[in-house]
Amino acid sequence: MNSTMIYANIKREIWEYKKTLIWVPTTITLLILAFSLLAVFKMDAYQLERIEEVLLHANSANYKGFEQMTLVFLLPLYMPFIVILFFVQFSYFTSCLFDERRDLSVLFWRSLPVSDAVAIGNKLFVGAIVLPLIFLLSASVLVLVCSLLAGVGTALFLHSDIPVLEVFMSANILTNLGFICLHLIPITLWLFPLYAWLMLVSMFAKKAPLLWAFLPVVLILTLEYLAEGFLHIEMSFLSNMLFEYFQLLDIKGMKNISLNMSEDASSSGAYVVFTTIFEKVGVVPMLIGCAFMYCTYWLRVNRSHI
Amino acid sequence: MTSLVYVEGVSKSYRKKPILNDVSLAVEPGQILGLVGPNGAGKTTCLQAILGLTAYEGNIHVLGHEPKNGRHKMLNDVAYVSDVAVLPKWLKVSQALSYMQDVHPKFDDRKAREFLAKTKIPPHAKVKHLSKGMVTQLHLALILAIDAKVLILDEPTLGLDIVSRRQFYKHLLEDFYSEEKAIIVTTHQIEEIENILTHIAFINNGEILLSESADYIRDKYKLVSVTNDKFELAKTRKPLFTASMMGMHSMLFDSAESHNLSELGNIVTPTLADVFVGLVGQEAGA
Repeated sequence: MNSTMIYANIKREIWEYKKTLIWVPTTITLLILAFSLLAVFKMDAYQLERIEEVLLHANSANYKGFEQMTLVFLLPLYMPFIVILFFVQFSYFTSCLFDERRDLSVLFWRSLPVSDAVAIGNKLFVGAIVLPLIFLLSASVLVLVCSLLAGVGTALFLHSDIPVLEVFMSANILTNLGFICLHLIPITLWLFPLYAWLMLVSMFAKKAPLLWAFLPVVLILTLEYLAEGFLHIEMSFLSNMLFEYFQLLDIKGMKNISLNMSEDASSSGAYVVFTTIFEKVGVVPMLIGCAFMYCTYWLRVNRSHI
Repeated sequence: MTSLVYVEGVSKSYRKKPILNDVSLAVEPGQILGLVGPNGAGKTTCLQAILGLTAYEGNIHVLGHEPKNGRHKMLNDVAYVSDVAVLPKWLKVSQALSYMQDVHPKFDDRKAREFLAKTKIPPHAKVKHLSKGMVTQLHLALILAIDAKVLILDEPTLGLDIVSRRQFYKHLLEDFYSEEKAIIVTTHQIEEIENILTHIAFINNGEILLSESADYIRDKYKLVSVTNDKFELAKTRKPLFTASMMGMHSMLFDSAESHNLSELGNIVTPTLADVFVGLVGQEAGA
């Protein structure tokens, strides 16, 4: 396996899922930008005065506070991307192996000297790493553009003599982007069993892979619920396990992440989230993920043409 | 072992139904082998086993590789056209060339572009916007640009018009075939390619009925036009196949088993289709 082969297969995935991988983040970026500009142009006079007031107090002594305020406004721009990314990843993983079987193009791909392991590994890499990177990059481009526009706009319209552009650019956006990207590693490891399950479904399902992704889980959860409700048998093993594994809402330190992002990395909320997600990564879930991936590989090798 | 493709005792079942039963074949350099059989005979499964695309029992060696384990290495020297419909619809011509260039060590981009230049295929068109004939030409361009030793074609001209079919086989012979290479092809239109086949394997119900050179088969089997008065006599010679029309009877004989055929009527060399129908008919009647 060489880098050209990996690069070629990543290119192939981007060509195939161009709408999802390129156009979705681009559209979100453009929409948010358009709405942001519209909101600025529709601002009332008193709102502009408030902004000017804040900027007048921003001098080299309290840049720190201003940077944090900037981040409070800019980081939420990532949220639409992260939410939509989740759905896009779900869609990608459930269709990446199903689509090529449905249109029989699997016969063409498998007639080329690319091993099944490389083909599946590339799809996992694209869905788990490349796709989030594209979305985060789009979000970061949006943040940078918004920062620039805000800086230029403030300098032009608020007639203040403070170096607004310098203030915005000092908000360590790139450093924070680096932190966010770094989170991809624990998140990918944490969600690996989910990704592997979705790929297995994509390989296994003859129809409606989305349905297959949920159906077995819903069925087991329903059986557990019925057993507990009617037979009074303690059987909520899977529901407890899934709830515990995917529960992130009450993680210590999740609050105030945005505000702490620009602080020293070792004590920041970002670092806490990083380590907390890493704590979620366990041997058993990884083994389950590996088992799902092996089943996916086996099905592609032995059942692609049936 | 000089065979490029060596198949010995290969069997495969699906849900307890036998699809291939003790299939044995050998393909030498310079051969163009036609794997001929009715629908459901096991032709595609046989090719897929040779390519390592499906599990099987028995021994297969392709250029020294065992397809079960070394499929992707084997595919450096083996090209495969399964059906014109398998090129993905979203793929652009330029993307197909770029991808092949990246993943196939024996792909010649210049050769593919030269071939495509002779066609009306736009370089940036998507497969879904091409006609069926153009998709076949594109697939052929991709395959012919590979310096492969073995080419495997599974019903490559299915659904194409007669002009496209003839063009396909013309390019195949002119741009791919040489004495060092081998081609295995399955087709329903055996009449169209019987003049290019050097060897034929008839397959029915997952079993190879006959695997010989085309010349041997033409020598071995004879088609006799028998008149009504010789019909009863001819029947005693155990023809493999009889077709009656307007008072004339065409009877296929195995010349090794039936002598003095000239006394029954006019002897002609049968087409491979005649031999195939005769052998399948004989098996069905057995």
